[in-house]
Amino acid sequence: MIKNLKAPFIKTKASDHNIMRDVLIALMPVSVMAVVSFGMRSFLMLILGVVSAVFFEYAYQRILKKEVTIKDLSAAVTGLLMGLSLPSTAPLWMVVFGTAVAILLVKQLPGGIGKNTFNPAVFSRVLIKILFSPLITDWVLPGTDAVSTATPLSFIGDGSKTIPAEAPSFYDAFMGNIGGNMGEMVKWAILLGFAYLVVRKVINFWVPVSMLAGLFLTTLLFGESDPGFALYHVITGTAMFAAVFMVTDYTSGPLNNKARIYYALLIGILTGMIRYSFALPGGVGIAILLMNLLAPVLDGYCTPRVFGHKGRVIPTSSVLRR
Amino acid sequence: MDILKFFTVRGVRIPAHKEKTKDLKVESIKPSKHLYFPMAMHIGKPAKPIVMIGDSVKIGTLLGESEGGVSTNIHSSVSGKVVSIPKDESKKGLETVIIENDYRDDKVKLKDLNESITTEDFMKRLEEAGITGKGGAGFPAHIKYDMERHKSKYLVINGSECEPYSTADHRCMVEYASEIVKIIQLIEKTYEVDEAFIAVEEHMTESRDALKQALKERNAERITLYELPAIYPQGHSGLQIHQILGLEIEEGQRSGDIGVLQSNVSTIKAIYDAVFNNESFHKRIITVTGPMIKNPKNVMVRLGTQVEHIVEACGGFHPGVRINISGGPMMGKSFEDLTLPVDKDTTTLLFLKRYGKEEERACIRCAKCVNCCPVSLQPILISNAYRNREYEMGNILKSESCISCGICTYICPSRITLLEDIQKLNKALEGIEDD
Repeated sequence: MIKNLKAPFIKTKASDHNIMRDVLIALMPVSVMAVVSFGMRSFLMLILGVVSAVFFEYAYQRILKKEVTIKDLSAAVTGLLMGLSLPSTAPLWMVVFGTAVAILLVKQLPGGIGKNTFNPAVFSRVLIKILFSPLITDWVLPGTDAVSTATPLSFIGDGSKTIPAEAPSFYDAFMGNIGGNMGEMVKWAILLGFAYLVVRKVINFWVPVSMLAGLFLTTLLFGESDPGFALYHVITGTAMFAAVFMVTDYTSGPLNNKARIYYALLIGILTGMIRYSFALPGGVGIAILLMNLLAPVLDGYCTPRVFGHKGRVIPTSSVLRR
Repeated sequence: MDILKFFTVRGVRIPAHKEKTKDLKVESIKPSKHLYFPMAMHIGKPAKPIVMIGDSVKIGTLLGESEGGVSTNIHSSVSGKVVSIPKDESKKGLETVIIENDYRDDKVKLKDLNESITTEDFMKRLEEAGITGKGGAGFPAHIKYDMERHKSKYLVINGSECEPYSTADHRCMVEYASEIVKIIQLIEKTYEVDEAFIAVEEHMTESRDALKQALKERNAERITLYELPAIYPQGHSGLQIHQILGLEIEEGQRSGDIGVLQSNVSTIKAIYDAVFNNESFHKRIITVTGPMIKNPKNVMVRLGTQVEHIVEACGGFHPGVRINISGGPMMGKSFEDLTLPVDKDTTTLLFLKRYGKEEERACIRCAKCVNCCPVSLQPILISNAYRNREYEMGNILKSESCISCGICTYICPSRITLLEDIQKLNKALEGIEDD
């Protein structure tokens, strides 16, 4: 029995479970701030997201007699992301609908963790937007009074080149005193999660930075070189939240580091273009889904040169498979 | 900071676990009553036994003769009598010379070398002394030192023991710094090398300081001490040459093909003994360590000593389920039988606690294996190709360039046996080519 043991005899402490736990921890600052801003209802929504996502994964795997993998916490992460990417005014059934689509259709149908082409939470969120748009654009300001407002993005999208005077200030956008989805509002909370993920080596520091740099540069171009306008794009909408928690998703992105940087950069550029060209504040989601499809192409293009070999051959078929 | 680097550093920082033995002086342990000399203590063809049962031998008596080509001589490490030469049918009839020790330690020495040594003399001395690379691969050294064809020559001495737990090379540098520098100076002169380097790991400060001191004392201005970052696997010969000289050894080449002479520090110490003391290769420093051994030590042992004798000298084992490893935890080999003799390649005897095997889980595409592979392979893609029986993909993915460092399997959070899959694919590919 011992004879069959092969080197290496030691293993890193990091495991898939620990990685997902780290993502959950990194999502805590934004989750707490969502509950602080919108009260018990938002808390209920987040819990519902996690519980329903885990339930769907468990039920699917039990019914199809597969190994139950809810312990890896990836369903919990998807559920929490789902909850956080909706506004606090969204109906509760929509959270459940969202996790059902994310877990059953996007994640489990192609074969479970590691096999999905699209980011489950993003796909689901974009679908919700297309199907139920009026129900989820009832933006309110933080606080229990439910004061209706518009999101900052509605001031600067669709071809505008400057920030109108009535748009929220940079300070309010950074601190979260704006309308928006629950997770994306408080920027410093997102940065806290970002720092944690980088320190824990779960994500590459340059991936979110590249995504935001892509967005900044594109909007700079459209905004007639006004850095303030470009920066306003970066700190409003879902851009920062998506850069840290969606663009860095392992499964739906490319494998090697170089491809991941290009991927993030292109998502940023696409987001800027969509925001500018259409009256679509949800540009980030569509940009991510488009790049999800292109991720294998980037991986092929960025195939590393193996040490000791002069050229490189792009292993098309094996990169395309998940 | 590593984490802010644009592309993560190739290779990984692995907990070193060297603190238990790195400050312990090398102890000589009393040789055992019987010593075992399998005729394959090295890579390549086994040696041919030239002694008979009943023959008296001394330290340095030739027991097995090199079969020519990639093969090497094997000498006795004690004085005494040949008691038996059994054949092991499970290992293609490999013969083992067994010697009973008379504890007199009589020696036969090699002939004195000329004052002005030529490369020819030097190679011949390595061959007759039976010196093989002591870094773990066991490649006969005299073949490496066949360097006449090259114009530019570099000498790289590998003092980087990147495997966790091992401190044998470290102690060798601390205790024999002056000898190491002296023999490097001789090789430098004999081979007319352009530049000479000693590569050490930056966190092993004692060996670095000892060498620094020795270089100063011996006025060795032409030898550069090169500090490598403590990233596994910096001790790998090809990667080290690339790091120090910027030269890349192409697939299928040896370091000699690009004009680089490379030796491990313990090999260099054995060469010193062969050249200046006329001793053949018969003893070496090994680290005996790990959480399961009572008194971890660095020991000087005679080749042919059985592991159980060394374990006894180190206080025996702690109770519990154990795994025995010859070599480091990343690239070593596990063994069950404690009668295994120490051979020319043994660097470390490591005794770890054995845990139950963790179940493998699905790949989450974290790509740590892809981004840490020191030779830029994409382990998960190779593993997938193997499991889908697409063996020909191995050629496109260059799986044969794998250096077996084990980082992919070490780092995988889903515990996928990536290295094993790569090696199985390579074996399958070999099979296809043979047909």
